[in-house]
Amino acid sequence: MNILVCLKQILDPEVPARDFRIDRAKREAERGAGNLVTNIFCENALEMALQFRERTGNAKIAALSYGPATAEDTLRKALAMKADTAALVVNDGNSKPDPHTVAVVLAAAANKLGGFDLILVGREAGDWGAGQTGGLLAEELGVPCISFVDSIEALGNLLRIRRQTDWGYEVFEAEPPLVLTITNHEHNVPRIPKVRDVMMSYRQPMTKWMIDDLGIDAAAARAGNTYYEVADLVIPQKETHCEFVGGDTPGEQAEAFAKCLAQIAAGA
Amino acid sequence: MAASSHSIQHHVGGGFLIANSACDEVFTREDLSSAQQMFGRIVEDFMRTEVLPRSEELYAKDHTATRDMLQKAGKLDLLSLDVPQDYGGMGLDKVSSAHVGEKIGAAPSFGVPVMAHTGIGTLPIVYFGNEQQKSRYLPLLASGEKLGAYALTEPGSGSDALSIRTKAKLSPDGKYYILNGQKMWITNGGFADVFTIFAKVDGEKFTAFIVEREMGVVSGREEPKLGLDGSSTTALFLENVCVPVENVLGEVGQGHKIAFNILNFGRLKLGTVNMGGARQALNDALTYAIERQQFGRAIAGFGMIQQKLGEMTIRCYVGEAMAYRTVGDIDHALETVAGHDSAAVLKAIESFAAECSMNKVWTSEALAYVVDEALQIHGGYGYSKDYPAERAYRDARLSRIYEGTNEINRVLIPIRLLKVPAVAGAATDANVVANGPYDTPPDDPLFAREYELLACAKKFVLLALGGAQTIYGKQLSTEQEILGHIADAAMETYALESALLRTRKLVAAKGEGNCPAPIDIVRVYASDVADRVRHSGKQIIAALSAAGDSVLPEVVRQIAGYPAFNTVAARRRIADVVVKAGRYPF
Repeated sequence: MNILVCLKQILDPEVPARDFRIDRAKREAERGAGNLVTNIFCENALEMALQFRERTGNAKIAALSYGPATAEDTLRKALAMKADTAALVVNDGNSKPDPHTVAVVLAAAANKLGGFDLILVGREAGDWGAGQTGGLLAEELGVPCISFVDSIEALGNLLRIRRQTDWGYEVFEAEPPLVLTITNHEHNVPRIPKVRDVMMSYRQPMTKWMIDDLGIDAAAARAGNTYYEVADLVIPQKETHCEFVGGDTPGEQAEAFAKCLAQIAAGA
Repeated sequence: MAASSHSIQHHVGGGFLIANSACDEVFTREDLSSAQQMFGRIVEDFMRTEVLPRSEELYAKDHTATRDMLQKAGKLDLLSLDVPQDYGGMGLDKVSSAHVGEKIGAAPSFGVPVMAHTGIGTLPIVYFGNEQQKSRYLPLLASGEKLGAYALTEPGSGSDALSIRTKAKLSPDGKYYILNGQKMWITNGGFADVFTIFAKVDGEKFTAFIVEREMGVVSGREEPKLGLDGSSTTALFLENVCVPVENVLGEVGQGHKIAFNILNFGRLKLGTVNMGGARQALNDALTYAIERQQFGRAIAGFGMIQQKLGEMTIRCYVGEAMAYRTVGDIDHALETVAGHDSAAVLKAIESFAAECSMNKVWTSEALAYVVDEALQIHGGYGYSKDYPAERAYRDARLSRIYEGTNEINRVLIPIRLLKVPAVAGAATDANVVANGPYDTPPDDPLFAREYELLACAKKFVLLALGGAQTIYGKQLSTEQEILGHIADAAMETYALESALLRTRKLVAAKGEGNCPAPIDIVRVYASDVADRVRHSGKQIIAALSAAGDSVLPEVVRQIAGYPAFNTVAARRRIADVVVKAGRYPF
């Protein structure tokens, strides 16, 4: 089984809310003192691939990222977590490409790398949360897509795939090639790489391509924003106020509280 | 002879006094490679997932949890950074190891057991073990399968380490040394498996032994301590403990070389470890100061609090500059040394003994300042165990005591500096006395005044060293107060130069307009250094007045002439930067 895991480098979404700043004019988050990290759902995907390889003993895992030169760190970490190979497509164009552009680039890189049975992406990224790349990538590659997957098992030539839904789980049996978008689960918490493996990861070769190397419309990819625009970006203001509910007896208090709730519900 | 070109000198211990480093010749925290930063992130992830969720167990002095966490850290190779690759370790450079130390230092209750295991618990075997001892013990210590501790101190023997009373006697069949005695304040003492224990063979020959717990080491009760709740600290009782003769570490009668060198080595990383704690305390204080509203506004906006936040930031920045500079210089020195040549490695590190001591003293006192002000900023909440400031305050206190008290280290600094031939030579060189240690300060309009101050401060330290040496000769080591004042002046000089070089490097990379806070930090710190060196100078001049020296007072007058700088406004600007960032941003 050849598995490709797509990984996105983003500004650390775990930055405390009070430290999070935006540049409203540029309509993007300010880097500030924040770290660049791998999107957590992408790491969940890599962890699932690693566990699949450990269970079946029969899989090769390639890591792929489309991003700025700093995204090499994301791929080095993937290698340190024990992905077999890594490839970076350097984005020297629009720093906020729309999901379709990302899908076009990733699909071209996946085809150039060649021969994947399974392509895993995070269900969404912790920066913009668009959640579109997986589906669009499947469309570009012409293969089926299953979203919100939290478990995969080998079943002969098929894969048994479980996806989370609002009401529980759906289980599929599907034949590769497939694109899966991966969500988090207690079983796919990403492992912490060992120091030794980090050292080794910096000695491993890494494929690096520019957009022009992929045989796609490079100008369009660099422009990167054809249908998708951030019109405005604001941090929601949290407002709280406290109201004491009166009443001399517990019964009166409960009644007053219920009325209060009803008023709020009616107002909403 | 005044030195003018020193591209090599600055990489020699004590070299900062006689050389003028360029910013691209020193290592700064900003120079960490992406691999080194990833090592740091491994620790952050480990702390977030394994240590912080169990911090209450550490707080409750549950040392089974400590041992468990240590062994988990071992699985990620975090215990083997300084162990050579031939023995199951990583054999990493000292900067990497120090950076990992900084991250571990953010939670001292766990960090101290780690540092004790990886430092004084393991390094004696790394540097003094024979092939058989290294092969037998190092893989187990590197993986965390066995945990290490170092047992030198006794009830009646602390700083005066050579006065230990634990005895070792060769068994009649010549196969064992039989150890009897007691050790005190042994970090990891409650659960360690392998100890480096010092004893006197036949009551005379100071010797180190590798002792396994199964050989009969008995731990005393857990010492009730002020802080570091997660760290096990016990006495050890040795009653007819039979240690095979092949477990003598180094040679019989040569244990002092191990004892003192390993402490040097331990100090090497303490700079970054202390600064990791300071960083954490500053960030906790910032969180509180930004959120706490009084008189209708965040207390982070009040002048008194801003002065504290500004000064805390300065101490963190300056301490990091010193600590990373020293480890970077040591790595540079080690580049020409074969890794397996332990004697050469130790010699290279020992040549920086003065810098290691300066880092230890300066950063532990900076940490003390930062945790104290962090608690103060929290007001009454700072005194509550519900807030992190209380724990940080208690945990930090030991750092001024262990690895050689700050008093012992202050005495060592001038003595070590005088052992560097180039420094000792410059200290009594007539040309240096007349003109200072180098011909011309760098032509740097940004820091022209600061460079002038540095030149004066270096000249002052050299003259004080030379004067004290001339007057007291071999008795100098007993003049502890004078040595302490010289040490203070030397530390401030090293600290200021390190901060200046760090900022210079930042300015070169980002442009002057993008580094307002680092520039302010250097200027505020220089202003304070001028005052503090002048203070030390007055004491030294008064004490050395028998020499009838007129040059020293003149230099001190020059230092005192450092022009006034509006440090109030500058500290406010620095505070504004950290408050806007929400955390220490460097």
